[in-house]
Amino acid sequence: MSLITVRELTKEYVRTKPVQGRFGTVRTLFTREKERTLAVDRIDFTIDEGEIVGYLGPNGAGKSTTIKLLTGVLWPTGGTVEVAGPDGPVVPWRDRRRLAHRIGVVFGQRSQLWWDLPLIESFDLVAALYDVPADRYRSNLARLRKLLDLEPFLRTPVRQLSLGQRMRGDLAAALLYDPPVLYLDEPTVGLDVLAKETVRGFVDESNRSGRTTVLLTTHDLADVERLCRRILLIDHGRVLYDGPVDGLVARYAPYQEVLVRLDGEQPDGGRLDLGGFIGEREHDGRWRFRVGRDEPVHRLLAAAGDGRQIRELAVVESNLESVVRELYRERRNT
Amino acid sequence: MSVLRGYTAYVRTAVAIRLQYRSTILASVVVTLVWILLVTRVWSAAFQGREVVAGLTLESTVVYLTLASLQAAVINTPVTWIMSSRVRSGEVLFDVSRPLGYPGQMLALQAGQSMIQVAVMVLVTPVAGLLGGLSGPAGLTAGLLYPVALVLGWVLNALLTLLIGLSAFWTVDNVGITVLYRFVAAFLAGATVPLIFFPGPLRTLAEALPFRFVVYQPAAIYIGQVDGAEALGGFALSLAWIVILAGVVGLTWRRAYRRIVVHGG
Repeated sequence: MSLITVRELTKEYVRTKPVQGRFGTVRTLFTREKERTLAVDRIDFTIDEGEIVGYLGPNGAGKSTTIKLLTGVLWPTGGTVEVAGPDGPVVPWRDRRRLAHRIGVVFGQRSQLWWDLPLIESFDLVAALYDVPADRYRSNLARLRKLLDLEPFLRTPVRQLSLGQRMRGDLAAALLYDPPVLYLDEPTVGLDVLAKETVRGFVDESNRSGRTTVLLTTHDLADVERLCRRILLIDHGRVLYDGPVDGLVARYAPYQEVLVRLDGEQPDGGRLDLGGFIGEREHDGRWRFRVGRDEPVHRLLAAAGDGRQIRELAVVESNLESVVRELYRERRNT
Repeated sequence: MSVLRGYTAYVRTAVAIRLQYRSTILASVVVTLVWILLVTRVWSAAFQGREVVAGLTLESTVVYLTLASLQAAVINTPVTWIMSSRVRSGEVLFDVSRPLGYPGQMLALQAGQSMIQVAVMVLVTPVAGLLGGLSGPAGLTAGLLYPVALVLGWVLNALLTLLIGLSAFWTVDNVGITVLYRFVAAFLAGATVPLIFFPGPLRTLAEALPFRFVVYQPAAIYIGQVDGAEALGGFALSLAWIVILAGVVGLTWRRAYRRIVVHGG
């Protein structure tokens, strides 16, 4: 049975269209013209307990809007969301208080910690808000302190923390009350390599030992490769792909790229036919071929050896990053 | 019980935040004390040796002004600033996703911030008495009714402040309206001039509005200008205002929530 069920979820932002030109600001106050933006457009998906799902899409695709709908902060224009639990399903925006105990939220770009106060005081506040019993708070905090190495800055005011430290604080705050679901919105943005690894390791550990179900948005595909078995790719508010990471690569890049540099005299033109494979000239003079995953590369090599000497050869496996780059590029061209 | 624990934690948090800004507290004390010194001197001069003006003795007027200036510290509105900055930064997202209601959270924050303000004013009261003038309450009844009036006044002001703060959901920046509120509320509450000195129409206006219960009513009860029966009538009216304003806050919050747009990201 799925833990989170999203059906036909739609969010349209309506705002007054600003009037350009003379007295534009004043005229905007009286205009009736509205601008409508469809941020999330009839999205469907379900997430099972214990999954870590990567929620991907270019900037402006509707990721953050979806997260805000899932946390009950935004009202949708249409559709529904249900989060299952022991005392029945909860629709986020209808029953935020019951939802609150079921979800933890971390945003890379903003913090739930109180800026002016030592880190520990924000933890105390969160524990009180979610009415965590004292002994459970103590044991949870002890575990989080160790996992996230919070000890050195537990009594430091949050405004003096580095971004990596603050992020660790935010992760701890989100899990202090043992929510079964964790929403992570760009949790590694701006972090250095080590800090990123700490965050990833922690999410992985919480998912393994705590059975925390995670929905993660990120632009760092290393996060996805390290953590997610499944991804949801959205763009223009619609789901483009929902399935395993490998599946995305297989579907959008059912080929590998072979880069070839030839010795001696270079053929004219921008295209080169080698044994039926068509190569395109790169900026650096190499030729780029696409070879299907089930086609043997040696056919290309055999054709190349036929009168032409190969000086250099590289096979580039398509990975998540190259696929996503390709998809985003296509989007920009349409 | 669980809900109470959450709100108490918010009060504690607000106290802790307030204590981080000790220079602000010090400044508010200095401003209040200097104000008391000035305003009582000006009024003493205005009486020009007369004993009674508009039914109020000079001595009572000075006590009124001293008390009113200390009480006016309640018309501080830190929570409006917290609300607007959290709307602007998008941190309101966390407030909204808490298991406690948003208006209650903000009320608890306002309470915590007020507690420090009140504690400080109580502490400097002896100094205020020296600079302005203080005497005991007009009688036992006045002494007993005074704290009740103060509490009602605080609740009224907190609800009004919350309404002002909620405007941030429409305008993002609520500094302008906050400044306006503090100015209008302080004046109509009788913080600078006792209401009985107000000319006809202005006095009618001030009496029709709830602000007077924040400063004028408690101070007037203390000096005996408002007697027991009148005070009880005032309490009933304050309570009615509190019920109305709580309803308005609730409705406004529901509208604000429905039109929430979390800024950034």
